[in-house]
Amino acid sequence: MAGLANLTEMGKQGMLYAQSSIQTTGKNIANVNTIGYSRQRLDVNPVLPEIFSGFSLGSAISGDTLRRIREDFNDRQFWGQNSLKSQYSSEETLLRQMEGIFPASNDAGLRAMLDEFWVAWNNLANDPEGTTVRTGVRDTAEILTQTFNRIHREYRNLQFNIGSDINGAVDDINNLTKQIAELNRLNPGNNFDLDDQRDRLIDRLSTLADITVRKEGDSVSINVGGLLLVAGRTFYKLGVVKTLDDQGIGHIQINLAGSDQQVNIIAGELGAMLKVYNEDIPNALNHLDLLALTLTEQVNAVHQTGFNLDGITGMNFFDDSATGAANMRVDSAIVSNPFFIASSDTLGESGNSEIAKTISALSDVALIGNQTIDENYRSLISTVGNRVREANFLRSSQDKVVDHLALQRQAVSGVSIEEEMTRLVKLEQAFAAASKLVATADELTRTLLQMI
Amino acid sequence: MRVTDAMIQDQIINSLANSQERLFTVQKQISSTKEVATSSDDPTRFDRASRFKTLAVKNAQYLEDIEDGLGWNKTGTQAMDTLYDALQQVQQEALRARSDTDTLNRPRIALTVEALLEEMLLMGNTKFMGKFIFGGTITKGTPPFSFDGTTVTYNGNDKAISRKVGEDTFLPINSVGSEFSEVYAATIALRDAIAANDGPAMDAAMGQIETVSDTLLNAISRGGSQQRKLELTRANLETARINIQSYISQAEDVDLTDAILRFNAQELGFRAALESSARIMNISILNFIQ
Repeated sequence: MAGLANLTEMGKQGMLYAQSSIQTTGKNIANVNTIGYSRQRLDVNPVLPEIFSGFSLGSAISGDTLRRIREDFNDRQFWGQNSLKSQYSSEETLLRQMEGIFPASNDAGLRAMLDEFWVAWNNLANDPEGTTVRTGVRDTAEILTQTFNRIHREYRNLQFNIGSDINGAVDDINNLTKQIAELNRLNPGNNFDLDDQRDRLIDRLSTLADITVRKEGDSVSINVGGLLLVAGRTFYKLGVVKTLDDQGIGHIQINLAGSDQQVNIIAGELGAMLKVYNEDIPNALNHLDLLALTLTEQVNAVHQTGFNLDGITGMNFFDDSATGAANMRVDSAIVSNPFFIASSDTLGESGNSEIAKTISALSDVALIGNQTIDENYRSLISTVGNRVREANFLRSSQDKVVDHLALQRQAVSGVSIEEEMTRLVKLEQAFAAASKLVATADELTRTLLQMI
Repeated sequence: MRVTDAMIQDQIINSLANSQERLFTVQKQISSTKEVATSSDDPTRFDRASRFKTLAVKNAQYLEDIEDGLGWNKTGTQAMDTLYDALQQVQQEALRARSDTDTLNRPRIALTVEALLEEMLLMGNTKFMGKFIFGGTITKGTPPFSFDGTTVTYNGNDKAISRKVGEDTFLPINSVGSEFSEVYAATIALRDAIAANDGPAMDAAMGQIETVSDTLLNAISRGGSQQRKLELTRANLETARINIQSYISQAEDVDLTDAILRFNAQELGFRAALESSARIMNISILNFIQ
């Protein structure tokens, strides 16, 4: 009698197992396209039949546990590499924007304006008595200074925009750490959906900054930029501190909110933005300022010694109150009357064009270190171009690394329809077999009872 | 490795995007004929192209300078040629006056010499584009030579006018009036000697004219050698111009044959990727079980 009752019980257990497994499979199938979903498995431990007084007793299945198929090691690798990937990728984007400020083509922009500026002075050297050539010198000089002004302004705008994005990224980080701490609090046990949600938040966090994650039991603690920001249910916020240098160029530092403790974020989108904001753009701005000031000083120094056709001497060509590329101007007297432009180095010699020649020849003189003005400008373009190239190279190789890690993660945790459907068929058959077991036990019992 | 549906999809999306990006890059190169359009495409080649473009601008400027300089120089040489012709006529008139026994003709000859002197003065004050070419750097205002009836004064200076024809290379394009201003004094002396019917003075003046003719010929030949230097430099610059254009092209232009071959290869790859993606996406266990 005990044996038959046990048979019914085993059939029931089998049906129940098949049913809950079908449910798990169903959940997996339903989440096949859910980003960050880890497939789940119902594990069953067969209970060995107990040998009791010569009879086999006990249930077939017991202690079934639901598992979330996930590799912590893969996650940690992914998070580490992912912040580098997003760093290189946003560096490339931002540097391309910097490069775009110089006109895309080689034929326009500051280089061409400089070429024209020197040509205009050379034209004056050929015709020092002329009026139209003087207007030509003034006009090309004005276009040149306006180009300096424009490039400087656009760099400042780009820096300003990156500044707003930095604020946004810091807000994002603060939100994410807050939510992660909240999930730490909500999930003391095994709630796999909350685990998935938390890992998704950490994925997002890893695109923003360099993070390290430690699992401590059911909760995670997270360092951002080397500083502990999430520990269990507690989280700390980051703050943005912006300072201006004496040239009015901004500098941004990330601090632990409300303290002087600096957080050194070097990777992720935020790391990239900080680098471009604090280094690349100020370098380019200083480079431009040096060019503008050198040009102003050198041309003025020669021009002041010259005479115009009326014998007026000692005049500036560029406004000498300029402090950089932003406010480089042609001297107002020359703007209103280009006749003030000097060409001769001797009073009363209309055909003397020594001054115009000397200024035109400044294009061949090494004025900044061992570089001419033109060379120095080209080195600015090359610096930015090389940075873009470097970021592009790092980004494309890092893409491959992260793609590979993401694939590995997928290979472990992702849902395969083929796998789940096969399992479904198998479970369907198991369910049918188990129900057959109950029916058989029923039949046996009935037969037995008929014997009475 | 375990393969999941999301992996297949991601793989397809990634590889299609990569394939498309490569195709787009080659297409952009072909349609613009430029392989290097921004510094980041290739900083070294971009820099080289920029350098040669600046050089091309300078080169064009040097060529213009030479054309302008040749105009100035030739105007000067022609004027000096005319001056020399006039001087030879003066010489002939002098010979005629000296050999002519009929001294009554001499005042008339003196008048002819006077007229030739006026013509020579006109030549000395020749203008090119409104500028006096023989006054050194005094090109406007007072003409280089002024004549008060007895003496011709040179008002210019000895400074050279030059044109920039290369980095650090300037070629002079003018001759200054002081090189030949004695021709006027000699001619005036002759005129006065003829008018005064003074034989020995005529001889002396003729000797003087002989000397200044040589001086003038020297000045003319200096002008000629200026012209040759300008033309030689122009020939060099013309060659350089063609070279520079080909350097720029090498630095930034795309090799079209190569680019079109690459385009074909990328296109084939993209088509194959699309084809295989479409097929793999249709394979599923769902087609085989009920």
